[in-house]
Amino acid sequence: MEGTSYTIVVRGRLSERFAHAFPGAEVHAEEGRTSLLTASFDQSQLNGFLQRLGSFGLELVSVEERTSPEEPGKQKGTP
Amino acid sequence: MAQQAASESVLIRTKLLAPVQRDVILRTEALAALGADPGRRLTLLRAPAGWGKSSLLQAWHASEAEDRDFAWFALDAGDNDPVRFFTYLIAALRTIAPSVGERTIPVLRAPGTSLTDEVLPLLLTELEALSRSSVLVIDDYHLIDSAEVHEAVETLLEYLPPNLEIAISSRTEPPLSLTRLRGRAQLTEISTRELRFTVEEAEKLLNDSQNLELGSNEIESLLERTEGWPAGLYLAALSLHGRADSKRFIEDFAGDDRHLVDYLTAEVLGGQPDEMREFLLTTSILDRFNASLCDAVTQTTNSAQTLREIETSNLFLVPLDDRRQWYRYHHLFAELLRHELRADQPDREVDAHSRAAAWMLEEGLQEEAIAHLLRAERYTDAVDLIAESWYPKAASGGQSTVRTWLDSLPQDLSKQDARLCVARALVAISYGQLDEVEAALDSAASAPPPPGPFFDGFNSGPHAAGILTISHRWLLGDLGGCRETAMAALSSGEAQSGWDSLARIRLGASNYWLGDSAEGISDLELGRAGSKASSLKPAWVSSLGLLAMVWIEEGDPEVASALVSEAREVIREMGLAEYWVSAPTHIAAGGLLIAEGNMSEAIDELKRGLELAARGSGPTETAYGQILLGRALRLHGDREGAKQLLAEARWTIDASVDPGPVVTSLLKQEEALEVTVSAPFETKELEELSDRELSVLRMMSGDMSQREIGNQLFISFNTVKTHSKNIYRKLGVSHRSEAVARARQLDLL
Repeated sequence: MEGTSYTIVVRGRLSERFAHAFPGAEVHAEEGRTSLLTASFDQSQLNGFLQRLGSFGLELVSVEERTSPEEPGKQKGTP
Repeated sequence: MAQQAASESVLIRTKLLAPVQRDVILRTEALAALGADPGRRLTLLRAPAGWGKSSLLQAWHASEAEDRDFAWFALDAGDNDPVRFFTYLIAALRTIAPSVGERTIPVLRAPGTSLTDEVLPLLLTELEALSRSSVLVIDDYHLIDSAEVHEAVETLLEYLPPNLEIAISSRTEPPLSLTRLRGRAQLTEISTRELRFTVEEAEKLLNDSQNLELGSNEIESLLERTEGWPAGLYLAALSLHGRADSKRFIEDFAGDDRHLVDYLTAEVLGGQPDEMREFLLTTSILDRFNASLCDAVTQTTNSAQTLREIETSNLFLVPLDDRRQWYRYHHLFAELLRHELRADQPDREVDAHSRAAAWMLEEGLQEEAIAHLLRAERYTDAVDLIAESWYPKAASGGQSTVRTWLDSLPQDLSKQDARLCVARALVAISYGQLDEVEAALDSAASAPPPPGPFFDGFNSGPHAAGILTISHRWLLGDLGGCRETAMAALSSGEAQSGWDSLARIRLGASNYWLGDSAEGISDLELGRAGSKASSLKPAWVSSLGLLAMVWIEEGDPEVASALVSEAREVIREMGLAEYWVSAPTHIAAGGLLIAEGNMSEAIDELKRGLELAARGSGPTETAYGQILLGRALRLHGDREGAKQLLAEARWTIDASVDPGPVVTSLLKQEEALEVTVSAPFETKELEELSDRELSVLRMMSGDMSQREIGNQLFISFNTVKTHSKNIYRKLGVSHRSEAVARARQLDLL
């Protein structure tokens, strides 16, 4: 099964210090929240990743499939 | 050795101790929800990291209103092995009721026993006898992802005796079916709503317990910023220690949108002297630790003092015993430290794991050493240690742990080590995954000679593969194939060992049941002598039982009786009573009782023999036991029961690849004695088959074995058996070919 890339948003701004805490994701701090752009994950990788966020006490705001034009090569979901 | 056992038991004990109460912030509101409720079966504390779940459990335990006994079981990821999970769970219960487990533990540890059908009913019976009302705490349940453990815990909850309550803490909603418990008001749930700190509690923490002397505005400001999250408040308190400008700090903190864990970790760690920081980071890789382990991992000599300092400064250190020897970090804090370590100095993390592994090994804690080696990715060393440890582990019911070890290694390594291929094969045999057995045995035969010794008498990959192939054939009921592979293994000229005796025993049994009785008996006798002289006692028991069965069949009860007595002696001495190798002894004993005319005792012996056989014997012993039980039931006047048993024997024989003529004709004789008066199909209303039964029925029309059907449908061999029995009953038939014919008749296929 091919994976999917996700944009995961957590509450609170995460500093550089946390940039290495989540291998397989790019960390983008914004105002009052942080977006994590993941590599291509299958479901079990996604679940593991979400658990890892929880283990740092981070609060989840949203998880969305990423079909943004930034990475057209990874678009999915349309036939 | 005594030393090693002692330290192992200490480390294990730390999993079963209620963490020591310190700095009590009385969570009055949350505790109120936990007030005694005699009808309750489960209390579920469900909240993310740092919400004070364990602390609340601890406070509950210590509260004056609560006078029940508490058993405590703190999980780690290794507890996904169902046997290990229940070993600890029982050990926890034994801290409050020392007799619990006396009957359950031997069954739990015996290979091939079923958790839900055999272990849990026994445990539940033992729990009925709990004299005092008790609570069993299972802390950190989110670490469990094994479906088998979830299923077992669910069964436990369903049949829990009234004087026991279970309390589970978990970061996530556990996949247990809670609806029923909710519906019957047998569940209390505690979530972040109840765990959030109130103003009064925050004040107690910050001012009374941490002596920070904060004003009410400041407390409210902190409470707002942390949203009452206990770990956040605690981190804030630590950051405030020794600051003259607490007001300013709180203002900065409240006005910053950085994630509070991020912000406060920097503050707390940044405020530590270098030496302390290094200590915290390095020891964060340990799940539980004492001073000696910390000394080894940090390469220092004053860890005892450092630990005391950390405890005094409230740095998230949880003492695990009253004597303050074992500790763990608060999970969230440990996670943060580990992250720092990884980001800062990844090499140090690997070194720390390596040193922890060495310490564990020194203490005789091989399982923990393997875990650290795997986390350090020191795979070559891990391979050697696993090769050394897997056999005793698997032999005491730890197949699931062994499989996890093998799966954690890079494939190219585990497949190229003949010792591990043999481990993989034996574990797969015990799980009934016969496809995997073939592949693993092929790899074992072709892998280069391993760098270290094989376990217990195996000389080489091909030698081990040869011996295990014989067992594999025996389990398939392929007597011809078993004879052939046994002869090949025995003629290969490898040095003698217990395993060669096992080959001899299988050869003898195959020959006998293939109809060559003289040859069979002589090989079984050779195998008996060889295994008696070797260290492989289970094989010796096996040879005695199989010989006794053979002599029953030959009509010589005196010889059989002497063999049964000898076997019973060895079974008792070696503690093999729950091991399936003892099945033939019980079956032969049943045969003797039939000959004496004592049917009711014969029935008990044979039932016990079949119960043990279901844990791992081949179809030959099983079919023979079923035929004898059918006979005993018939002679006892239970015609329905007899018919059922013969149908089961027919089923066992049909499922065998090559059952040989002996059991087949025995069954025919016995069937001929049954006056079968089955009602014509037309008069019986057809009981509807379930979807699962229909899928099994469809597969029965092909030539797949029952094990293969199980693999195909992702269900266990035993489940296929159960489905098949139901199918036969519903269709009013007694074996597979009839079922298929009848199903065609009814347009089910």
